[in-house]
Amino acid sequence: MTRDNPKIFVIIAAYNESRTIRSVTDKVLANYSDVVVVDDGSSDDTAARLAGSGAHVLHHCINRGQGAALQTGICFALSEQADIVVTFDADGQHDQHDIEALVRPILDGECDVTLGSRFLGNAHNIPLSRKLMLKAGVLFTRIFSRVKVSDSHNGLRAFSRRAAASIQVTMDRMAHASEILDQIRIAGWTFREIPVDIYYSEYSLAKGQSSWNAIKIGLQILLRRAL
Amino acid sequence: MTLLHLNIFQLVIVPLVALLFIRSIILLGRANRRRAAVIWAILWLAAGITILRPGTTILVARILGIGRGTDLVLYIFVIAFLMAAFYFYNRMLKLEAALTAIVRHTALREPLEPPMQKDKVEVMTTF
Repeated sequence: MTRDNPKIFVIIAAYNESRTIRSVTDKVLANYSDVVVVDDGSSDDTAARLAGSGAHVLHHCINRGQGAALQTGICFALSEQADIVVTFDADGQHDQHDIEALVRPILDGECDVTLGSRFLGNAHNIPLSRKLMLKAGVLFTRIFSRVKVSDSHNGLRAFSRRAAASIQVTMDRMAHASEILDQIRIAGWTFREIPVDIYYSEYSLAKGQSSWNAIKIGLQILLRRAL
Repeated sequence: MTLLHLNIFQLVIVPLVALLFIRSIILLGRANRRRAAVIWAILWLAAGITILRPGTTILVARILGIGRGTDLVLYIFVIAFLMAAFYFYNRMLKLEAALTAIVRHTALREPLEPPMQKDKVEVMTTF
């Protein structure tokens, strides 16, 4: 790893996020020069909002899901010789200042992967139903992925280059969060959870997963395992 | 059994099934579709026999310890349906993966921003 001047790539998967994408991207760009936004076949003007922003913008011509979009961003970052790949949500619920804390342990060679945890940090304005759902996700992950984390479905993560190169997200849609954890365990990457802040807004809640969807995702993962 | 003993259903369906059976036999001659042709030939033959002689399902059912012939047919259909569902689910997953690979490939080839790429030659598309 080139320690003096590491290339940090921040990947943002965006689907119909024209309301927030520019401000989120600009905030991250203030500290990190390489931001990759993957417009996942948005029907709004998400991509157009980023004209002249300085971010790398990739465009999925049809919607393939967040997992697929993140994988595209990871492929791009690796082809651009990224040393560290960070995933970041497009809906404005992450705090760009948390990126530094995620990247640091990897740069220091302490681990290969860092995972943001809102339950170690602060989940501002989190509704009870969302909290219960996420806790259920954590339990599900402990049982089926056998990965002990306090927050299994946090979009803020960082990977060393070699860890990022080993990740192959095949669950195109929302099941990718569990899949990434599975692959971290199977590949044996050392990981650490980092406290991060999540800011819930009406907007981010509307864009998030409903509880019913979460159950569907769980079933999908189990079915895929059975096959 | 004479022609007169056949009911209308049998008169209409049996020639059809016979034609399909003959077709699958012809397909047997083609090397590339042999396995599918064998399965279809067996299927049409079984269909023809059970339509002409409904009693055969009862016979087979008794041998297998299932009470009624219709139950036997029902069980076979349930199994066939589940197999087909799994088969198509698998097919769908493969198609989706292929679709994503194509979408990713074009996305990596043609970034929207920044507008002019200086030295973009190679992109990673290992799928």
